[in-house]
Amino acid sequence: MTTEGHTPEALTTAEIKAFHFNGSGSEFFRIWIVNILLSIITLGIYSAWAKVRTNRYLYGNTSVAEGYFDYHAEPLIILRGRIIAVVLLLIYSFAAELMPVLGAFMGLALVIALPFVVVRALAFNARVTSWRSIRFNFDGDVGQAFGAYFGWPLLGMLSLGLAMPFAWFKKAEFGVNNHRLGRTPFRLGAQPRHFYVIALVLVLIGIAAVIALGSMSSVLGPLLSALDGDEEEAAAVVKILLPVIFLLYFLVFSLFSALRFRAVYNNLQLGDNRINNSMSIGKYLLIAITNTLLMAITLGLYYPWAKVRMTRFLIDSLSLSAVNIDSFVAAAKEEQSAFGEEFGEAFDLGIGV
Amino acid sequence: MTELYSRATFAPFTIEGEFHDGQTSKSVPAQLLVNNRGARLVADQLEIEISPADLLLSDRIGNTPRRIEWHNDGAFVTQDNAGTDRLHRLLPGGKVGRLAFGLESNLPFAIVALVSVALLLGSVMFWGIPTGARYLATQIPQSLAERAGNEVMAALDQIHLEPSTLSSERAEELRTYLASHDPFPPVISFRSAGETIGPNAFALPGGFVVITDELIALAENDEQILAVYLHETGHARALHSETSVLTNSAWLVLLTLITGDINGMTETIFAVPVMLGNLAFSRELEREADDHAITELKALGLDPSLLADMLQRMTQGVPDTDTDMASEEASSSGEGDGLLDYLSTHPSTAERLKRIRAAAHERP
Repeated sequence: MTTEGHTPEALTTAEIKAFHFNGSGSEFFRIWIVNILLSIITLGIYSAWAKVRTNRYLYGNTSVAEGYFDYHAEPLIILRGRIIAVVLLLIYSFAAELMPVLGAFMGLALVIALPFVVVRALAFNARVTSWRSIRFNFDGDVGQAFGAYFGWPLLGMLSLGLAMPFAWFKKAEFGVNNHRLGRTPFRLGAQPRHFYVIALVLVLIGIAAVIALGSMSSVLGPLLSALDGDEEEAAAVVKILLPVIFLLYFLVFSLFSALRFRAVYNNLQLGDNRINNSMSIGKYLLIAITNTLLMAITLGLYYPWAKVRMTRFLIDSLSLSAVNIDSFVAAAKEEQSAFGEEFGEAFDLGIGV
Repeated sequence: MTELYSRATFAPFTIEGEFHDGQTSKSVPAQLLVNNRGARLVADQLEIEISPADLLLSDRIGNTPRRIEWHNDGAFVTQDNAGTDRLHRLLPGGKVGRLAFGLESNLPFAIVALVSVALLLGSVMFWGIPTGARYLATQIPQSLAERAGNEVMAALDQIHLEPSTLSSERAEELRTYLASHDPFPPVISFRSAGETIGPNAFALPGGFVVITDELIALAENDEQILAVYLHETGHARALHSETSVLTNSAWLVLLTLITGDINGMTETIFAVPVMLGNLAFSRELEREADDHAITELKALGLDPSLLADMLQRMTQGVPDTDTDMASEEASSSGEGDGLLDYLSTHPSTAERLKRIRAAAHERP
């Protein structure tokens, strides 16, 4: 694995390189709890440093082909963004309660600003991330973001869901194809049909769940009628159904995340190289469920272990079919406008590529 | 070229790592030789002399690789954390990072931190935010609070409420009756509410009290209305609406700070204690308003049970008008539909009835 040096491109064959995540739960726990303590003591100011340390821990433990990822954000820039965000949030929450008209107007303004915020967030996060000292970059513009987040989903809804998988595809395409490592762009390998398969799986599960619930309540119904009083029955049904519906929602959501992750990260092109993913959906669900249960039991204390466990599973499911990984070239150092960058980070929307 | 490092003499040492030229993704095995005169990077066919003043080291985080840069595109990346720490100590700066790493690598400290976080969060949630909000509520100018109350009233009128159907004589009679029992009467308004709100009364910022026609119709006598009215003036007098606006904002910010770095379903579990904290405070305010009503009723020589009777009627709905509610639920569980919201912000009716009735029996 050490010499994949200077052979001529034409003759090389792809070499499979695994992604590795080396983080440990107990190590991450100590970083996490110190971050929280210092953030509270400093009234939130340290949270910017905490964010950088957390990401540097996660990125710095991620490697492929002997090359590590790194996170380079400046805590002060993140802090500036967070201060602006907290002030906006305070104004908004006051306005929402005291001056509903102004509150609604601000909410609307935020929605309209969403594509801009998304683009800035993706660009910020890409530019402060590197692999082997080559920075990532993001080229998407506000128009594309508008299409990916509003246009296509709206069309999906107007088509009664028929075009929704295509909207998922467009969003993934927006996220992936606008990213590059240095000058080398990423290309989404997934096709619209992959997203239609995901939708089909979800719909089938939904139908099965409705049938199962139906039969369950037909069993429950007579049982509950025995206890007289309609209202008690209604309350009891609600009590049983609510957790079931929540559980179902959780499962469907997790399943969707897993299927989407696998679709997006499989057959992902980066120059002549390809990223593949052979994740087991069953294992993903098992980890998601046990993580949630353990977090609930431990009142959230399990979070660092849960995070490491899921991250390791996701990262280790990736592999790189490497043809030429020494020749990514850094992008020209452009003096990009930093305006809005901090908003993007502060309203971190968790937009995974 | 004096004072290169913070220490004048030390044994030279070498850090093994990889050199990245910053232009391509090539990674070349390299060594960084650190001696009294500076640092020299040796890689493949490359030798770079670096002045200590130019050296930039990344902070240590766990055992992740370190970056050493020198105002150039290139970087030296190493897994040798011990060697990098040694170099770091010879250079000025990096104190925050070193302190953080020291704390992060100390398990007993992590446990102390955990306990402190639990105590701090608990006291912020259950003491800091409520106390701060109560104080700040007294600092809001009356004109601003009144404006806010008017805005909220206008919004409610648009969405949920209709003009009252009470005759103007009855409204005037009731208003005079209620105000006569109050040295500082607030602005009393009557509104007709749809099915969603039903028999209810509420206090708004700026000292407005709204009573619905449905509540008036439900009451057996005016004294019961007075009891509910005194509960609401308890809210108004102690600025509970203003306080709630402030605590809600504070909770929202706290929630964002806690969950700020978090995305995904699993992590939303952190929101639960914050929401519970807010509801607990909201229930505390209800108890205070009940206490105010009890005290005032006693001072007027009336029976505090009036409030309990009215509460019971409100939770039970109107027995003889609605056919859907044929089975009258015992108020012990208090879980009628449509009341779920109400119950989450208020103590259970059973608990309130018990408190009020106990107070009624205390002293005549």
